Amino acid sequence: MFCLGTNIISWCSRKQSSIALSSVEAKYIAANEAVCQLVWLRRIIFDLQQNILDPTTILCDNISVIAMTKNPVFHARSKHIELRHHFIRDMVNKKEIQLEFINTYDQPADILTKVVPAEKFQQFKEFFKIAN
Amino acid sequence: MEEAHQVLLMNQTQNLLPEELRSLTDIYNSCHVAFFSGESQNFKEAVRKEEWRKAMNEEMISIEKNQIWKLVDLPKEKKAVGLKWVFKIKYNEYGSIQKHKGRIVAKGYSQQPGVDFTETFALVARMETIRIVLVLSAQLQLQVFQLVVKSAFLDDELQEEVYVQQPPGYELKGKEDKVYRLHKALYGLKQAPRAWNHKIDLYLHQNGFSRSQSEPSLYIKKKGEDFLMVCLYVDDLIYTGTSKDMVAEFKTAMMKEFEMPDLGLMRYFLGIQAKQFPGKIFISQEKYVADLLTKFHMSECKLVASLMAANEKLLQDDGATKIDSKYFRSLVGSLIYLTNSRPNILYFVSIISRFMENPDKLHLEAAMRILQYLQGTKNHGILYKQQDENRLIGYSDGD
Repeated sequence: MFCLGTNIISWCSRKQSSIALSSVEAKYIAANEAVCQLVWLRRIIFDLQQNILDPTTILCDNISVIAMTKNPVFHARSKHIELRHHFIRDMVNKKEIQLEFINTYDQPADILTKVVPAEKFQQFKEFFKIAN
Repeated sequence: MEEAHQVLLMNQTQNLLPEELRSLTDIYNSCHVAFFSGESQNFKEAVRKEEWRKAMNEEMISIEKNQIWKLVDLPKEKKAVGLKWVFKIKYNEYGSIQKHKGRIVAKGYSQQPGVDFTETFALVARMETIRIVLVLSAQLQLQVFQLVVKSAFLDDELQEEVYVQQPPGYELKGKEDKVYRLHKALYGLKQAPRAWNHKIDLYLHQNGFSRSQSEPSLYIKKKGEDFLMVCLYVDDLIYTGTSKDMVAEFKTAMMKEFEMPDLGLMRYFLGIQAKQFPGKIFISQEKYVADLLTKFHMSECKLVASLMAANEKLLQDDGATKIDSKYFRSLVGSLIYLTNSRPNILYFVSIISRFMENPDKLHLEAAMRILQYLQGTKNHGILYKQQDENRLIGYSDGD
């Protein structure tokens, strides 16, 4: 899910094609997909004459995932992850992106991955100004 | 209770709409009429109606004027592609009839690769791109305009030798066995969209536009500090720019080069309605939802407040009666398009889309529940607003 400020521009929700053995792995793969989309969005925004030199922040609610993108930690949990899912490390090194932590309760992307309580659904709609 | 809710929604919409617009009820009525009044008509029915005869004559005049074809004898080794009429009613963003359109199309499905055509391609913009353009416009307080090319696929030179039969209703007396040799593309021909794309690309490049490397449908023209952006969707396009002069100049040039009516501000593009205010753009798919509900006979359905129960779990094979998968697929497909202005329903749509292969009654119930939710939130959409913080931010999560 990507926003310019709080103007939401791109979103995606899909079943992952490979089976993840842990939630860290699932989130890592999800973050990686986000990075691919992000690289593309950054290019378009650049083409539209907007200044976009700073690394873009991706907010993720899992500290382990953030650690994994920086350093090859958690060998036991991540040694089998396919190489193409490590694209994210490359992009972090190139300073195209950075990952930051967001509390699960504030994570708006939750709405695309699970059935959320009505309250949170409403919160999401207000945050992204989805209304009549 | 439910009725009261409905009335409330109606009042809210009416307050938001400018005075000359019609109420929701009117819109539904006209949608309803539209569904039965025309589009499925075949040639035999259409000739009996004045408005369709007029539309057909207009099409023939346009073809003659553009020198699309020439009457010749069919060479022995060649086959002529059949033609047929397609009738369409064009609507404006309020759902009322804008114009009747009769169009000659080639039965492209009978063309053979390698013989009648070599390559096919049509360029469409990604929805993300369109949304980025809209957000930027809101941010920079720009107005977004729209143009549509009237006969995009008719204007383009054909590389191959293609023959077509004479169109139904316009056969020339005494020359019935002759055929037309096409000089330019017709709708329905396999190579038509590609020929058009080639032409517009050439034109834009000649006029100082550069094409975005990562999004081929996006063209940008720079002039000092100012710039103009153009987003192509086959023969529809939206454009905006930081300089009023550049925008006006572009519009005049395009209208001169191609036959295109001026649609003014972007209001209805690819089934998405847009309302523009200074520094704000609101997009929704209200008409699309109304049409969708009618199509699946849910226009009178009850409202629900939530999309799915928290503990509900859909299974591939849960023993319920199987249903027609074609019907289900069509419903899911329509809902997927709707997520273009409704990210909040995306998760639920993605869940039901997993059962497209082998749907049963329970899956259909879940899909119908989404329709019921939409019934109560038809006029919802996304508001893009100018704001101080304008950094690109991503959120990612997995479950």
